[in-house]
Amino acid sequence: MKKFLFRAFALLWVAVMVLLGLYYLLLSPRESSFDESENRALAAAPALTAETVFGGGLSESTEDWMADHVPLRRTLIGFSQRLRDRLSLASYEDSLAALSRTDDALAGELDDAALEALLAVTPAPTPTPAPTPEPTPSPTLEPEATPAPTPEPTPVPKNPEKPAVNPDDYPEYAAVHLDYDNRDFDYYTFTKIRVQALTSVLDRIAALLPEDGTLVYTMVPQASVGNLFVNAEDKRSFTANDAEMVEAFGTRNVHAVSTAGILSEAIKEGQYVYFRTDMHWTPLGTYLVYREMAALAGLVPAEREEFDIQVETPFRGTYYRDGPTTWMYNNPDDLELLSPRFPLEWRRVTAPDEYRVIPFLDENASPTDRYTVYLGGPAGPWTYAQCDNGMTDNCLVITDSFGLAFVPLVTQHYAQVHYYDPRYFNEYTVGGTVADMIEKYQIKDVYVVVGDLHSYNSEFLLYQVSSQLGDQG
Amino acid sequence: MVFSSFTFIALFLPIVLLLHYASKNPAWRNGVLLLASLFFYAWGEPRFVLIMLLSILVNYASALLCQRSRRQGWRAFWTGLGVVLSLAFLFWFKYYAFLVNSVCALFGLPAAAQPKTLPIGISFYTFQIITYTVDVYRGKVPAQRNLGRLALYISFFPQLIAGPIVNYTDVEPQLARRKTGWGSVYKGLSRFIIGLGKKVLIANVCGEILSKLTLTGSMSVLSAWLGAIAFSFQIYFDFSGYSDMAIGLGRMFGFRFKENFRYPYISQSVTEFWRRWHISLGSFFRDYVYIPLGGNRVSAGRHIVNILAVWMLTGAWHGASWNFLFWGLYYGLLLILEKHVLRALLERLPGALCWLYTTLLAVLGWVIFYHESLADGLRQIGAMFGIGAAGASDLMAIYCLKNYLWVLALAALACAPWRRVLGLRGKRPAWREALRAVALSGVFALSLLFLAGSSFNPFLYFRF
Repeated sequence: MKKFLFRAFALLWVAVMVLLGLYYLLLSPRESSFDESENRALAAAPALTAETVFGGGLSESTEDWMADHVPLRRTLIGFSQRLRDRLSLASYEDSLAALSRTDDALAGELDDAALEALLAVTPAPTPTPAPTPEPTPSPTLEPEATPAPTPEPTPVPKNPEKPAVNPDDYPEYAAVHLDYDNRDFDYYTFTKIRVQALTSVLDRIAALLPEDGTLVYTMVPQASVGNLFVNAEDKRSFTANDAEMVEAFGTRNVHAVSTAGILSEAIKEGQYVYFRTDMHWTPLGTYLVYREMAALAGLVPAEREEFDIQVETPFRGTYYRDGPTTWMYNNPDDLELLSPRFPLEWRRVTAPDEYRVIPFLDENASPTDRYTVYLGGPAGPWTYAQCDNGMTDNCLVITDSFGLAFVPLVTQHYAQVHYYDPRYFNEYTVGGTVADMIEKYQIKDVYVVVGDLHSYNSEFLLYQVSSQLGDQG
Repeated sequence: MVFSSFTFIALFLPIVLLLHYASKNPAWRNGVLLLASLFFYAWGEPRFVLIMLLSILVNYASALLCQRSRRQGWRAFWTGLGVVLSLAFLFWFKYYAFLVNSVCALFGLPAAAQPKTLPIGISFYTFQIITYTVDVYRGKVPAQRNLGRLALYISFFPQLIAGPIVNYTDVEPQLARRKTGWGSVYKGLSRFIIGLGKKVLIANVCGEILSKLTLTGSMSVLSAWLGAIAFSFQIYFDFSGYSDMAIGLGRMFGFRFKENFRYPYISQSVTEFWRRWHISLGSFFRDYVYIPLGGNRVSAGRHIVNILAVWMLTGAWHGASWNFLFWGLYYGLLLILEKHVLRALLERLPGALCWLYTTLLAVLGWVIFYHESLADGLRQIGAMFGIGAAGASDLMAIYCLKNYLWVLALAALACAPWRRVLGLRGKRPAWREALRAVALSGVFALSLLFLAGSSFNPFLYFRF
C-alpha cells in the first residue's frame, strides 16, 4: 500500500513539474507583452547569445520571463491575493493609512541638482504657427475644418496681470498635509525648488501657445489620501497650497486650480467625489474641478445635465482588484460615464497622420477595469476627440489616468480635444515632439490634470514632459 | 538558480530527475549529476565555475600526494597547501577588500580596495573541500582517486550554494553506491516540498513585513519588536527551508545528508540553541577548529580564548562586515557566560523561563545580525525597550501586525516539533502517509500559487 502511495504521489508531483516545464517550452509566449494592470512590459523570452550565456544575463532574463509567464498567471495571482486577504485582519483604512506613509519616499526622487538643471533649460523661441494643413481623407489624421463657432461668454477675464511675487514669501511648501489619528505628519513636503521646477515646465508649455491661449494646471490627490478625510472628523485635515504656488510663480497665462481645496469642501458637504474601491476621483469630483478650470480658461462650464450619463454599477475598482476585501465587496462604487450629446469620434494615433477609432467604453472590460479602460485607458501615444459641436478652437490635455474623466467634459468647448499621457508618448509614432503637435493642431489651450504623485514625480511632469516638449534651445 | 524558482522547479529538476533515472549505471548517474551541478553553478556566474574547479583540482592532487607521502612533514605540507590555497580563494573574494578598507579607515585613509563579486557558495564548498583534505590527512578516509566523484561531492547542486556542509566521510560510500527508487523520489520530494513551503509561504512573507517597516532611524516600540521577530522567523524558515530542500533533493538522487536544524527555537539555553541551529557549520568549527585548539580540555583562560576564536570565525564566515563580527563576539561572550557562570542557575530555573531567556537573546542576536551598522542594531534594541523609540506604535507597524498576524502565528507553530509533542514519531501507517501526501500536495500547490503571486509587481500609485 505504501509503495503504491509513494509511486502515485511521486508521479503526481513530478508530472506537475514536467507539465509546467512543457508549458514553458512549448506554449508560453516568447514576446514581451504589456500588462495594463501592472503598467509594465512583461519580460520577453531570453536571447541565447554568447554574451548572455557567458555574461550571466541569460539566467536573469530566463527567471524574469518564467516568472512573468506562469500559466494562468492572473488567475493564480487573484487566488493568491484573495487567500491573503482572507488571512489578513487589516481593515481598508489600515491599508490606506499605511500606504500613504510609504509614499513619502516616492516624492523625493529628484535631488536639488537635478531640479536646478531643469530650471536652467532655455526654451527655443516660439515657432511661427504653421498654416492649416490640407484636409485629407479619413482615416488619416487632420484638424478638420469646422463652421465658425458661436463664442461662449467668458466669465473670467483672460490672462489677468499677476502681481509681483516675492519667492521668499513661500519658504515652506507643505503642499499636502495630513493629520491622521492625532498623529500629525506631512504627506509630501514640496521644497521651493521643486515647485519652481514644476512651474518652469508649465511655463515652457504655455510659451508654445498663442497669445490668447491659456494653460490651466491642477494636481489631483488620489483616493488613498482622499479617503483618509472621507470620514472627516475635526482631527483629520487636508490642505494644499500648490495651486497658489504655481499660480504665483507661473507666467501670465498659467493658472492653477486647487483640486484638494475644491474636493475637501465637497467632502464636507457629503458629496461623492472619490471612489471607495479605486484610487481615482469620481466623475462628479472631476466635474466640480472642471467647472473651475473652464472658468479660468475663459469658458462657460457646461452643466452636468448637458451630458449623457451612463452608470456602471456595481463598480469595484483598482483597490479591490489588487487587494480585494470583504468591506470593499460590500461597498461597491457607481461609475458614472459622462459623454457629450453631439457626435464625436475618439481617435488614437497609430502612426504619423494615421489613427484608429477607439470606443468610449470597452464593453469587454471586467467591472474592476471600467474606469481605467474607458477612452482606451491612459495608454497610447496620442489620442483626440473629433467633435461635431460647431467649435473652432482645439485644446490639449496632458494627463495620466485622472484625465479619463476630465477629457469628455472639455469636449463641450473645442472642435478637437487632444490628450496624451507622457508615459506612453512616442515621438516617432505621432510624428513629432509635443511642440510640433501643438503647432500642427493649432492648440489654443492646455490643461494639465495630473495625479499628486505624477505632479512631482521626476518621471512624469518634470522629466518626461520636459524632454518631450522639444522646445529646448 | 534558486530552488524556489520556476526555472528550477519546472525545468532543471524534472530534466535532471529524468536523465538520472534513465539508466541504472552508477557512472552514468554520477555523470549526469556532475554535469547538472556544473550547469547549475554556471547558470548565474559562469566564470566562477573555473574557481571551483581549480579548488577541486588542487585538493584532489594535494590529498593524493598526502596519502602517498610517508613522512609526516610532507603529509602536513601537502594538506596545508590544499587548505591554504582554498582559503586563499575565499579570503581574496570575501575578506581582502574588507580587511584593506578597515585598515585604511583606521588610519583615516580613503577606501583602497573595491569589494569583489563573491562566487556564490564559496564559503560552503571551501569548507567541504577542507573536510575532505583534512580527513585524508587524519587517515579517516582514503584519498579519492576518481576525480569525477570528488568533483561531484564538492559541486553536488543540492548543497552547493547554501549547505548543509557535508563531511566527505559521510558521503564517501554513497558516491560509489546508493539506494534509489520511487521511495527515494517520494521521500525526497516530500522533504523538498516542506522546504519550499517554509521558504515561500513563511520566510518570503516575513520578508515582506521587513520591507515595509522602517528599522533605521527612529522607530516605534512595536515596529522594533515586529521587525526583530519577523527577521528571526525569516532567517530560520529561509535557511532551514533551504536545508530541507537540499536534503530532499539529495534523497531524490539517493544521497542521505545529515540534519542541519533541529527546532532551534525550542532551546532552553544558548548552548543548546547552537546545537540545534546550522548544525553542519557548528560541527565543522567543532571538529576542525575548536577541538584542534584544545577544546575544553585546557585551562579556563585558554578555553575562553578558544571559544572567542571559534565564534569570531563563525561571525566572519557569515560575511565580511563588522556586524557579523560583533554578532560572533556576542555569541562567544554569551557561551562563555553560560559555561562558566550561568550553567548552575539555568539548570535550576523552570523550562519556560530558560526558553524565554534563550529566545530573547536569539532575537536580540538577529537584530545585530540584520543591521550592517552596529549603531543601527543598538538603536533598534534600544527602541524595543522604549529607549529612543518614536512612540509605542505607528501606522505601518499596526498595519503589518494585522495584515501578517497569520504568518507570524503559522511561523510560531511551525517552530515546534509537533510530531514529538503529539506522540506521532516512528513509522507512519499507510492512512497517515496518505493524509500527509495530500497535505503536502496542498502545500506544493500553495507554494506555486504564492510564487506566481510574487511575480505580480503592482506599483499601486504609479500604475496609471
